[in-house]
Amino acid sequence: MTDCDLPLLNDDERARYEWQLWTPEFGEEGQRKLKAATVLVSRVGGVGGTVAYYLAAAGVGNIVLAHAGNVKPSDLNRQLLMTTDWLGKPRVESAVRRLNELNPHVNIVPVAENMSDQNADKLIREVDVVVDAAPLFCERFAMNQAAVDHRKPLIEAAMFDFEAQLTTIIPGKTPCVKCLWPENPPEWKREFPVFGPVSGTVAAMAAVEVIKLLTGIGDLMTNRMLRIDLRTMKFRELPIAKNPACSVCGSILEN
Amino acid sequence: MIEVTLRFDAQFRRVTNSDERLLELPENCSLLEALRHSAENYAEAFSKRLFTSAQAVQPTILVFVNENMVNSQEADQYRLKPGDEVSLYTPIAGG
Ligand SMILES: [Zn+2]
Repeated sequence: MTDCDLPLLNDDERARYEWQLWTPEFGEEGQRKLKAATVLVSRVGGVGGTVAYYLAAAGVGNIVLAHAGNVKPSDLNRQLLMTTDWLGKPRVESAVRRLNELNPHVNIVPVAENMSDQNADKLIREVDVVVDAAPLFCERFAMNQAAVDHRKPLIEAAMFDFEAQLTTIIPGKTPCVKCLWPENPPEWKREFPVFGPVSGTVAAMAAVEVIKLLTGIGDLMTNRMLRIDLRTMKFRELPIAKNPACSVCGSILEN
Repeated sequence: MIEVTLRFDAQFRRVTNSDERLLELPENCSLLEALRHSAENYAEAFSKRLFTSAQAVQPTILVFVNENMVNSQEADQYRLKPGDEVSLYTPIAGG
């Protein structure tokens, strides 16, 4: 998209984003790039919901939310887009309502489904960036396959207990999910210990990666993985590499 | 003998009750031998998480020696040096 194709900002938007517009390498053009973008976030729990909240606040123009099911009491310690008055009602509706309250200038597209091999291709083909915050590897694998097929960047955010990890996947240039975890880990369970600020920490970092990806600012977390332990406040940056034998991205040539 | 440190993440801590362990190993010991040796100190749950039924390292465990990612299927060829730090990261997907 060339500069003149980017959508213009109105005065309300200039006022709302004033403080981030002060970032020298961002400016009005950066804001217009965010406004033009479409980002898919799956799911919108402790990690994904917080990513979506920051992206909406920052003015990412179109945010697609994929999450099935209704709000449960046990969601409320970390899923900041869910509220007590929405218990028993669809999660994705609660998320849309909260994001619209925060920023009426952004377009929120709810999909009341979790990601799967059935819907990933159709949903990912239409977006610019995917944020993977799904609690099951089968959902992560489905997003990874479609992201690689359509050459879409995929931000991988995950946590367990006081630990979290983050990496940014650019198909063909970095390892993909299957390079790192070639099969469904037998021991992983969907229920995991979590405090909201731990999922929120990695979510905030993932949202920064999206903003950097869309605007070209800074250096992405590519070909490296951040592994953080908030119990000890130790952060490790670990180099990671493509697996040439990867079943998903092994045959893609770097360009 | 050489000394090598083995570091655990949160899921491994649940089965080892420790953050790390100092291993005393024979010279020129392979990474796979070191991991098998370490498993003797822990309950069955540790081995079950780390190894396949064929006693190879699970392909979904990320293994780093210092800052180098080691392909888990090549752990038998990787020779450890004195002072190496081996970190084991289990797959996590909490969202
Ligand atoms: Zn791959």
